[in-house]
Amino acid sequence: MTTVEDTREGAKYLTLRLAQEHYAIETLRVREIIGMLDITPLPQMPNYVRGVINLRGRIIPVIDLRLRIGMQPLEYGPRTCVVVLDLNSETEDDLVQIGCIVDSVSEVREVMQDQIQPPSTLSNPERASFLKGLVKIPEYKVVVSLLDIDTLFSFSTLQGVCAKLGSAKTI
Amino acid sequence: MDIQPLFDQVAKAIAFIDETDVASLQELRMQLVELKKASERDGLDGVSTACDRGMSAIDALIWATEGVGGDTDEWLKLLNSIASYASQVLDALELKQPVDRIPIPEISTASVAPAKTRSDQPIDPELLAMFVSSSSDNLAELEESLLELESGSGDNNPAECFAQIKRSLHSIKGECGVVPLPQAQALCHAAEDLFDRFSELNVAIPISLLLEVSDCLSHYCYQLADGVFGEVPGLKELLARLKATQPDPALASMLADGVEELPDSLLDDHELIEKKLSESPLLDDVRIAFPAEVLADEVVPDFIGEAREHIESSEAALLELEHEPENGELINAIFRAFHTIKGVAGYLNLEPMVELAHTAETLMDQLRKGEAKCDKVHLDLIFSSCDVMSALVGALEGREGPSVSAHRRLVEALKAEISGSSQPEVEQPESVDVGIVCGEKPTNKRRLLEILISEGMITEKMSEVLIERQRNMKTAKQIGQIAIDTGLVTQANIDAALEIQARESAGQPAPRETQSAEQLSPQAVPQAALVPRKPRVASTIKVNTGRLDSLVDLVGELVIAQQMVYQDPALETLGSERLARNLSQVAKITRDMHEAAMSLRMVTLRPTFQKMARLVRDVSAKAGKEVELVLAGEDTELDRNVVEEISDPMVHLIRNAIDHGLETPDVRKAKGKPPCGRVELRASHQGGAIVIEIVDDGAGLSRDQILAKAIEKGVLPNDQAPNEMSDSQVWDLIFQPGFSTAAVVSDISGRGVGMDVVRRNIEKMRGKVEITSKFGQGSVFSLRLPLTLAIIDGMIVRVGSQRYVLPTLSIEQSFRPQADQLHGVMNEAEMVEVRDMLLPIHRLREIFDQADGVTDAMEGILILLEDNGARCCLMVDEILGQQQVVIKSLGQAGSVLRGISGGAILGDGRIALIVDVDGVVTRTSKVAA
Repeated sequence: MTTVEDTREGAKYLTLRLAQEHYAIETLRVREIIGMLDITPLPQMPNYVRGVINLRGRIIPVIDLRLRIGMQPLEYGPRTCVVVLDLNSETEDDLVQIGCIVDSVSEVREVMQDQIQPPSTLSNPERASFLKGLVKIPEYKVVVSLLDIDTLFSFSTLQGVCAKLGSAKTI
Repeated sequence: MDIQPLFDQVAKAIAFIDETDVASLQELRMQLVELKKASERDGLDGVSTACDRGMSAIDALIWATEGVGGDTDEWLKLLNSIASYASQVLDALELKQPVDRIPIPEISTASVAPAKTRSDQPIDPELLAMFVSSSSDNLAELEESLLELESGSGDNNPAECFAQIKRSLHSIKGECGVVPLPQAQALCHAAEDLFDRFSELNVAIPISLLLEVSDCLSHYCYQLADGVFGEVPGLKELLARLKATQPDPALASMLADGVEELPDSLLDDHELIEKKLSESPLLDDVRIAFPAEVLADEVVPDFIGEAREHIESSEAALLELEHEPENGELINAIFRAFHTIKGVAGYLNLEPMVELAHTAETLMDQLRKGEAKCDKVHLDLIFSSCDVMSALVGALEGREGPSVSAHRRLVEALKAEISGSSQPEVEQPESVDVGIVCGEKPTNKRRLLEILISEGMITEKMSEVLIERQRNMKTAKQIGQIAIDTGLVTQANIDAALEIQARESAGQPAPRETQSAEQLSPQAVPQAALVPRKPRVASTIKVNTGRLDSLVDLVGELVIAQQMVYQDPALETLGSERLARNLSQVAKITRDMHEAAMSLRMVTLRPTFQKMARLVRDVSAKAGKEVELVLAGEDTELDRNVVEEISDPMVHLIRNAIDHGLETPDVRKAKGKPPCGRVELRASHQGGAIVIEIVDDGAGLSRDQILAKAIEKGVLPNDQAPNEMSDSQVWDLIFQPGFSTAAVVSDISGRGVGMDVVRRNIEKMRGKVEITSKFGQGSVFSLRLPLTLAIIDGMIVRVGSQRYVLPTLSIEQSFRPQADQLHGVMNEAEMVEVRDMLLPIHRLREIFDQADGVTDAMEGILILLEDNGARCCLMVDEILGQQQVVIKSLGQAGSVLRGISGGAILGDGRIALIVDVDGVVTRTSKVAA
């Protein structure tokens, strides 16, 4: 019995939408979901880093998920949400939070480990590295991509981008 | 009570002992205590020792019932041999035979093990943290006093330094005992011994050695703070050296004329007790512990806290008492503290505590009634009482208690002092020594000899011989008896002397004698000099810095939230005057609170400067230069974080000042300067910032040398001819990494890393380094630092839709340029002429890639920024105002941004980026160059 249960080990995921696509983030990593706030832009940042917001006295950066995965931007509306995530910091012991702008959030659903397919089938290896896997949801007849937020929002890749930008430009 | 039934009782109890029954063991222990008391009264010190060993055995058995330690058989055997010893003594007493021939049962070393396993208990982390923090204070004080003593400078006279050194060593030792850290304790103790040996003879103290002790201890503290336990580094070697270092024996014997066994007699009795203690290692490891059912009493936790407070307050009072021994109120305070402890301890039936508190209290009672003059011996005894008491409290908390023997010796010493306190203090060390060996009321005997001397029956030399003889006999014989035995005096003589003694001890000691005692006393010299007292220390409380930081953060957020409410446009529409009034009240309180919260983090620069004093001493010795260090403004307060960061740069600057700046004494003489170089450390407030200056009167910076080196290294800005560069631009070159004009790399400096570190660290704190120097006359390095790291004075400017904060510290001027001031150069950098300077204009919107904002310089505002001597003009759309802002980190995003040092949340809740002036000015000027 136990082996069967082990394979049925599941986790809860928050599903969200970007245009017609479905994505999901582990709920354990989601700190909160807030509406759009005033964004102060940051210079020298890749376009998907929209700037910083004031989250109750803390300054946290926000990233537009559409732009991050190479989609066309969408004007922010009432359904636009900022999902505040806890990231694993590479350098600091401190907790790192980041805001992720999405079109809308849908629901929290449990996904079993054995339902997840590896993302290696994707043709673009960089995009594949952003994903932890793919899940088919039969009742909606859709495929949900499970995001690997630590790679997706890693600041070391971001730093690389900035370094390239910085060297190309003299201020 | 008669001693005989007690023997019977004990023998019986041992015979029927059940080693698993804690209650019966306790009972036996009580009986042993009784017997011990009785035997001491009757002068049977062999029996008393046996009782102690019996008690140790019982303690070990009690622990064994708790599952600590193993071999109960050994202890039972010991108890049985004590029982047979008891019956032998009893027989001997009946036959009126001497009892000291009967061998006292020994504790076999194998059976000491249980006590040891108990001492291996883990160290309480909280206690350890307390130890580390307070001992670093103490170590700093110790070092300060040592240096002061050495240089003879400073505000305090030598006697004050002596007292301070003793206090520091003593309190560190005391704390080591509480944790417990036996190694460090031993080291402190040895250092204390050494210090005493020297100070009491009034010969020069081996300061370097004591400094090494302080280094060793602080290193150990660092280790502990990092969670590394284990060996105190270099302990054994240092200990050996401490013990080996003796004052010049010729000098010593001259000063302590006729006193045999010099080191012993110079130790005060507290230390003597400890010395004795260390000589009987078997008893040393047996610790006092309280039975579990007592510890389970619900009153105990409260009592522990209370007792700790009482002990602390007594210690504080004791320290004050050292300066004003006449202050009865202080003695009263200590008396009350011990009395309270005794009361509760009595209720809980904590025998050792009651005993100690009671005897200490009795001594203090005599002191406060004026029956005895409060002196060093008394104070040390009470200090040790506090130490042992606090160790007993520790035992209540389940840690290791004081050793049984330490407790016993202390109580004995206290008792001796009580009975002898009406005597002149001069003979105290000697007489207590004898008293301990003989278990006899010591001062009386000494007094007896004195009377005999004064009556002309014996000479002083004879009395010493008598004491020596008694010591060697190690018996309970009265000194009078010995005197008669040797035939020096007759029984009648003794009787007469005893009568005089009885008469005198009933009344007050004759004033003449007290006076002579003071003259005679070797301790009287430092004692009398101690009179100038230290100002009372403001009462403080130690708070975890994490909690403090979170409070400061919260208050910072409160300020923001308050401003958000205050500036809310909805309020204006209400137009309520009452609301406006109340809101300004809230605003005021918030401001005050903010200030108070910030002041919590402020600490003085004194400890940092003190560290530098130490550094100067070491470096000047290494460099072979004479240096006089002058400190000024060390009470200036700075944010704790700033103080922590500033130490490194200061170390580099001071090393440089001594190694490169100051010339050798010969060169100085040749130049007509005094041979002793002068380094000054000055701290002061200068408008919202703290300025720390490191001033030396050495050679000064050499423009030519620096330029030559710069050309050689190719670090010279290529657009500038060397002779056109301003001095400050030249001085700036020395901050280049790897830049050094030193011909030789010494182990102090010369690698060219230092100045780079200095600038980096200072700039990290948003501070600045400025140099002024005159060749041949010396240099001044000024570190300009913000008061705090968390808040800056900022000017809020607008560029297009965005707002930015510029640190006011860097702003020299802001102005709207006129057409005739502006110059286009090479179709590229626009220049503006201001104050006879031609400066480049940088548009903030261009630096930060902003799409909106004005581009025409005539429409914008120019802000003249200065950073490390470099200047430029920054163009913005509008100045919105000036305000203090709380700096918030941008996290990881901030680390990749250039030209931005953080973010600030403004009154409307939105974020403005704080411009990093260094990044903008220096970097852009370089690009422009």
